[in-house]
Amino acid sequence: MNKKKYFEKMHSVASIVDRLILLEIKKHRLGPVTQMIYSKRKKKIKMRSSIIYLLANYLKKEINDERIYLIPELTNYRLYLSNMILDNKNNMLSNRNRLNSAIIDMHLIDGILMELCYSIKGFISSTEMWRFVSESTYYCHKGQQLEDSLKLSTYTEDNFLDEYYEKSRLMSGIPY
Amino acid sequence: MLNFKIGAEFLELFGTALHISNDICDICIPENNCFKKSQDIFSDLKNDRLNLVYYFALNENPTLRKFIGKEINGSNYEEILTLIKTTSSIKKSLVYNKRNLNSVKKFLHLHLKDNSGRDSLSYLSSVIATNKNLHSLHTI
Repeated sequence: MNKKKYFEKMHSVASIVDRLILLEIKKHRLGPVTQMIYSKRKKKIKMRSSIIYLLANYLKKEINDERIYLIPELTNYRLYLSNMILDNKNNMLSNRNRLNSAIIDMHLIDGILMELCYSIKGFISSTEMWRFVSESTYYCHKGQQLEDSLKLSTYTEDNFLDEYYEKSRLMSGIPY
Repeated sequence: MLNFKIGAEFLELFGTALHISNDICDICIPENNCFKKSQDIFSDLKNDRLNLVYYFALNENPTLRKFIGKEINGSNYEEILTLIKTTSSIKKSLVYNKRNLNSVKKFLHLHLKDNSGRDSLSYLSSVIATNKNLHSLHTI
């Protein structure tokens, strides 16, 4: 596949994901924070969903159920919500209603992900899929925990680079 | 069942490259037509987060500390950037970024014999390599 076709495919995967995510948002009545994440990510390339496509392509497997693209993107949404709650960046969740909505959505997305993993007949088994989702969430939070300890205000030269690579590894590996 | 060990290793390398490029982009002051919003500039500095660029900068010039906990907005962006530019932190971070992207390429060549699969995964790293914010910093 040439580069142009590859980027076209990435955009096509992105539009599939946009359409399917919107259906899930409506179906599960996900709240304003999730809807805001959707608006921000709409029409953008979905790197992780594209990796699913590439992986299937590489293994010469068919994508029989497009909902498989939702798995990494919804995992991403879940982690965005969690990250927003932990960071409260730009005071985005200072409003109690928005905070509650974000926490509820985070748990709802967990359920949606489990439902998807067990209903999609993909090129990997449901159990494997669910294991990846659970492990990626776990490792990502371990990475977040480490990242939170790397403060500018308490900076020391000791071990920073080791810890930096470790947190990057935790937040990036195990199909997340 | 598939062996995902190699896939996970690729994602670790690729993800680390993304983290590094994200750190570097934290200090990018975008042009008007850029999607990056003003509140995202020096976001790590505003949130007391030690990233790779600030780590290298602090090693050479601890003055950067004076901005921790202070209000950071358009009025002092240039001052902070000038301070960072007095160090070799941007250069060092770009070297780390390049090194990591090279590791991704080497890894793919070592583990993936299929050319089409390897090429398609290589394109992922080209998304990072062609980031226009990173390119603007190469000229600093």
